[in-house]
Amino acid sequence: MNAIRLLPEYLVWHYTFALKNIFGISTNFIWATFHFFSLSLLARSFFAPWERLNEAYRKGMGIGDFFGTLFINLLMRLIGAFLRGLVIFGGMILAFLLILSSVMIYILWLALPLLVVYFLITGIALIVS
Amino acid sequence: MDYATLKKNARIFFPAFRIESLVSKRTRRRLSVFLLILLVVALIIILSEDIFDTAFIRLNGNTIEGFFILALDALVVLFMLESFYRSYAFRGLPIALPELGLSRKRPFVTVSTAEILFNTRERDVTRGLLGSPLGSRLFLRLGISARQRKDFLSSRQAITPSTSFSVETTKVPVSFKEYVRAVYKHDSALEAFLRERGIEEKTAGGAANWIERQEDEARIRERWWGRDRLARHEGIGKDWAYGRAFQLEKFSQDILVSAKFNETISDYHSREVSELEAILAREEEANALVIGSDSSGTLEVVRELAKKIKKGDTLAPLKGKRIRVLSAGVLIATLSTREIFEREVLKIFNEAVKAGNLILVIENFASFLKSADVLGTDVMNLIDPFLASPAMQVIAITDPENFHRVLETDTRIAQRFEKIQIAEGEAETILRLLEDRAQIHEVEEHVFFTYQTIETIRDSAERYFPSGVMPDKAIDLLVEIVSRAAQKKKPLIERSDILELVSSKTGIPAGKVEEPEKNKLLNLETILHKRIIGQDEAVRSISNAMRRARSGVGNPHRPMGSFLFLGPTGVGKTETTKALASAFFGEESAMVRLDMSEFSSADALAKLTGSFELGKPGVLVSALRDKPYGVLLLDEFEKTTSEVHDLFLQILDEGVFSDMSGRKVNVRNMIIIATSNAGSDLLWRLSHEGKNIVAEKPMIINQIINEKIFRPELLNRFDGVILFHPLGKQHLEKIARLLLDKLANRLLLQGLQLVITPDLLDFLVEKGTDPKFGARPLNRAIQEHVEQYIARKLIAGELKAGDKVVIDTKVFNEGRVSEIV
Repeated sequence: MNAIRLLPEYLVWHYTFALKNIFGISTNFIWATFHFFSLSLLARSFFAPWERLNEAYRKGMGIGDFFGTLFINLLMRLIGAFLRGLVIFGGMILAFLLILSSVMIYILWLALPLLVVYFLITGIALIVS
Repeated sequence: MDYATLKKNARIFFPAFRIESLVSKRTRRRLSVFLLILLVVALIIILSEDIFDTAFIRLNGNTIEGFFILALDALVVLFMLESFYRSYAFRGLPIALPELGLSRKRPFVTVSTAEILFNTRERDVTRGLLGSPLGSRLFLRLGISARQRKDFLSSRQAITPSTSFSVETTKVPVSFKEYVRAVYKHDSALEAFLRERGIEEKTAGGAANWIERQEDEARIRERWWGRDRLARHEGIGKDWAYGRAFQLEKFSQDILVSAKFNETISDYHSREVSELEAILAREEEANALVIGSDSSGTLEVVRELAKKIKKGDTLAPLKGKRIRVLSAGVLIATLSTREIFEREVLKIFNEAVKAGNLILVIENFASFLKSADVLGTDVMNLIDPFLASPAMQVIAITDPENFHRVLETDTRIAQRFEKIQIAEGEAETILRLLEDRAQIHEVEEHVFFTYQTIETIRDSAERYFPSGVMPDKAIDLLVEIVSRAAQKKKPLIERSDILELVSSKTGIPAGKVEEPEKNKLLNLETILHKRIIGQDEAVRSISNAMRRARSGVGNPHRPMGSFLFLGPTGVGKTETTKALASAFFGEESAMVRLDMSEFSSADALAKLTGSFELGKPGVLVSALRDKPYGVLLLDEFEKTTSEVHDLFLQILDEGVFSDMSGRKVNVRNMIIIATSNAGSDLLWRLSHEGKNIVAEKPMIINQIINEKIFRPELLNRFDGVILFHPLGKQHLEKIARLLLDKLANRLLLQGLQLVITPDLLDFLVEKGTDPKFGARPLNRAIQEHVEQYIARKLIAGELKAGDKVVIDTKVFNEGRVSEIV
């Protein structure tokens, strides 16, 4: 009884709720990528000095010192921007790959019931032949 | 909600159970593993075709490939079924972080309830519950074996059909707990069966709740693609935009370092956690002073917040923050002089500000301030600018005692910090914590707790261990019982084991009433009357109250018994109390005696409960902490102040009171006896007129109220106001005999045999009768005459071991013996 009811129930689920679920799960992974690579945080603080390592400009400092400090601070910001850029790039790549694979999984999922039937026939045919 | 509606609403879960009934989860898992192995083997053979070019492979090549494809196919089908199952079974799970594609609509029944409903046939609701896997787990938790459960199912007289069944609840979704309680209510046979084993509806529901929680937790763990689970990983670059604080890192550690990451959504002190979150998210003066008597529990609240921040589930200003616990003790110990200390503290705070994402926790804030004070530093002054600035957040932790003594008086603290009081855990929360702990021990030590055991641990910790705080003391009890069970190699931990442990730790009989005690309780009147002459009403009332208390019928939230003894001096009020202490508690020293006439000045209350100004603990508080189980005797209760009467109003009502620092003192394991000679004159007169004083009790009490000695509400709080009548000649004679018997026993130790003659008794009663002082002069008469006489003879060498002492009372009449000696 249960088994007979199951097949149509399953097929309906496969092409409705399941699609919604897969969509939800793929957004979860993309969200997790953003979370793990801190994408929004790093983008917002892109040019901030690396770990706040910066020198203070003191009153009455000489022109040499001034430029020295300016250079160091600039350097820290550049290092920060470089590393952040690296991580953001990595994160974006992963996110892109995730989106791509999500689309592929979607297509695969749509074809899956047919594949099951196909495999079944092929398998039996191979054994019988 | 009637059965049909329930079932209709449960339908959304049914596809999952249909799969489950076809191929169970366990079978699916085993099948997958088997298929995987098959696939791998087939793959190896196919790939190695060219290398091992055997006849077998050449002949059966196609067959092997065919099997490979079929195995793959079966695996795919299994995967599809599993996805299908989870898609339905994980509906309505509690999650913290919102997710796309999940229906926000909450189902009307929980998945566990739905599982029962799926397995239930219309004509027998109870079998549907008990026959299901969840039902069998429920019964195991309640300490009922599978055999007993089956016997019950097969021997029932009546069954409950679904038409007469409904769940009365307004709470949605209808949980397993509500469902079990409803079955309990509707099936009288089941109710009787469980009642017989001491299981009430509430207990059955509680056990169901535990099982459902375990189920939900397992589902949450399984759902690894959920955002709650994915967010556990810290990620990269979270603090690149923030500075490092090297000096601070030396003296502190991250609060999450030692924490186990709890998977489930914890609602441990959720109110306090969100309060703390709101305070720290303020623009400025975002500092919190967390006050809790249990330091580990208090830190736990901060830790909960740290977890929320880590998940990203927090208010915007707290995103990316880290919470570090300052090791204030190490700081003080390593920095020995004032200059170094101040410099380092400033450095640490400067670093924290510069880092920009640090929240600093200072444990034992009061003692930190005090130790710094010893070095000569006023820390509050030093760090005040930081506390006031928007760039710094500090969480100071303290216990209530130090808060009142040290911190409350400092206005700067009140200005810079917002207070949060950590309440002692709610009964439900404590139960949940204990269940979680029990689960850990069950896995590690191979023991099994029944649900009643967990309940008993909580209740016993509350009732029998007045010092210490919840849930710590309950957890201690749980840990101890596990190690005991391990020693005894006893895997099942039952309620009685806990009660036994409690008895052995406190000396308070907590378990079932055993034989010697049973006799003592049933014959308490006789035992008391061995020492108390007359006073039948008093002895009867007290005995009844004791039996009530020990059988568990008494109210556990009040003292075991409370009595006001009224009567003239020397009629046996104190003696009754002593007799009770020794009969029931084994020894007279189980009595705490306070002479209330010493507490009649204006500072009486402070003397009893302690005072801050003096820094002294209260007399009553320390006495009760030393002896939490026994008799509290309050002599001359009328002589104390009305504030003290008010204090006892509360004690008699609730069985607890607070000491000077707000800590609870438990009086629930005490019998409170207050004595007073209020109304004695009236008692005398009535007794003289030969009236029955018991019948005149209302009149006597009215007079006491009219004279404003005790207020009516106070008198009403006592379990009994008991009248002690003045003693008549016949009583005095018996008392004289009792006292002489005691003396005779003492003399026997020296080998002397005292003969008690009627003549001697008459003499003593005559000498010892003083209407004002009851039986007290009797004692004196014995001392002054009999004891003195014997002492003189002993010293003179006229008496030696083995002699019989017969006293002719004429010797007393010839002159006072004491004068001769």
